[in-house]
Amino acid sequence: MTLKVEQGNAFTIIHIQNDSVDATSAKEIAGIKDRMNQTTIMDFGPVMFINSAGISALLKLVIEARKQGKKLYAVNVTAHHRKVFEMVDMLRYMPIAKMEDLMPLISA
Amino acid sequence: MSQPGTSQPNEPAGAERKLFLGGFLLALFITLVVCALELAGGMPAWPGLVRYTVALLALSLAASSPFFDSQKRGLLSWESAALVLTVLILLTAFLTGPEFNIMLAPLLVGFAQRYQDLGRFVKLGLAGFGLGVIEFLVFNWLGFKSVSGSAGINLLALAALTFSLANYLQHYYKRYQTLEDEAATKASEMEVAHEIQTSLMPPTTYTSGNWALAARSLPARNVGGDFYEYVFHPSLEDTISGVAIGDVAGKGIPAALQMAVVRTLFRVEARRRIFPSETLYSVNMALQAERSFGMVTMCYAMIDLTTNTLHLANAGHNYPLLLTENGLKEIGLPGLPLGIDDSIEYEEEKIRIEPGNSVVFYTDGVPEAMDREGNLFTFERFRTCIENHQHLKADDMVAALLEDIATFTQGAPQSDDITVLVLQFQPQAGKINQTDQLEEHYNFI
Repeated sequence: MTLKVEQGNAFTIIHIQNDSVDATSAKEIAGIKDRMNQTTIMDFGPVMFINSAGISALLKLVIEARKQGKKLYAVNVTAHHRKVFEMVDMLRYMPIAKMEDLMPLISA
Repeated sequence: MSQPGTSQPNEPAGAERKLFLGGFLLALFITLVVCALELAGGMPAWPGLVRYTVALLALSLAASSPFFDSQKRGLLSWESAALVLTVLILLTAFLTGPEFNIMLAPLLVGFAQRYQDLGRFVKLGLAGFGLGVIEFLVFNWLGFKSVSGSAGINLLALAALTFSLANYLQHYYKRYQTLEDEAATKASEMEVAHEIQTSLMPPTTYTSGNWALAARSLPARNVGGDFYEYVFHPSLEDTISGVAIGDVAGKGIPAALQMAVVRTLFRVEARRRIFPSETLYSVNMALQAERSFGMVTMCYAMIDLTTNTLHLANAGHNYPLLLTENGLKEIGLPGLPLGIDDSIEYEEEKIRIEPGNSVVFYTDGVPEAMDREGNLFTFERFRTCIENHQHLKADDMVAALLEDIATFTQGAPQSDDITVLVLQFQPQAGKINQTDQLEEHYNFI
């Protein structure tokens, strides 16, 4: 598994455990759309590389989250991927935040 | 004319014949040495089975690379087969004693190749068993206690073993040849596909009035999903009125096929001379109808030749870079890529281009080009390279940028398609001013 899902009462944290998000993890990402909570956080901690299949899967997930009225945040994103997320307009649907700033949402 | 992979069984290739002969001679030599030692009384009876073990290993060495490359070809490793047989023979020897081992050796070898030829398996097995029985009866009748000293019978058994192994080798060598022929055919087809795709791309350099264009696309494989397009004005002959660059998710043939579809859709929409944002909207809507279509990033810049202004829309593609005398500026225009969601509205930006300005378009294979240690080329390094080459003509700039990337990657395998397009505004004395002629065609702007 390249993803580890942490479920709380009102939040879900999706930890990406591989250093790359590619076609393999894209399938897993597509499979978590039904497990998202009102607040869902995607932790990109170890991620060093995201290919186009990974970007595509992430975009489809964030658009699905928007349609479901859920809030999605990204944490631990590298500067390079921040730039990529911005260009593909992902930040509009999944802003990048610091984990400590999201703690009130998680503990609420 | 023979077809690839259909070599005749009765006409073994030179390499096979050599292997067969080499293996046989090696086994014969080992047998003779061991028999000589036994006859001289220098070895006890049990090394009869050691002989087979050594012979098997020797044969496996004779049959090893360069003719077998099990890692790449996915064939059963010859060495593994020999090892398994060796273990089986040793195990049998412990269970039955050396005499039965002699009978069982050809049987085991025959068993190993049963998938190849059941008839040969039966024949070899029966032959080995028969030889063993005759040997056992004859030597018991003569009053000998051990059969392992029987050089003649052992030689026959070993010859059968050698024959069996050589056939085994021949079988896999033929499979290797077939695979190699198939790989050569595929490589040839891919080369043709590469040539077709390259020929479908617009020219790498083009001058249209005061505008110079240069572009290169380097697929990571023979064919790729990156593309660039020069949009020709429908009424003005040989006049470029727009450029586009795109990147279909993925690599290789699937990406190339999807790219062909996107380019066609784009050309149809671009001919309508609608705004770039509307063009991308229409292309995206058309893509929504295509099932299982992946993501496509695309940037389209329409040139207003009357005002030297770019009308630019971007569907998730890397931000173009505007190079002016004041430095490099990113044309930041985010947008969802095509093929992700329907009814996406794209924003548009107008950029006035001054004489000497360049606009650099590129795909994500550029900042994500990797060196041998896995370090990325990065956006920042690319910007620095552009600034270093700011005084070059469009064509030279593209060549220099690709050279910079190649220098950085140090020959590391290309992980993604790389495309760079430079649009340069170069007003030249003596050029006919087309403004009057153009105005009527740009009333819609």
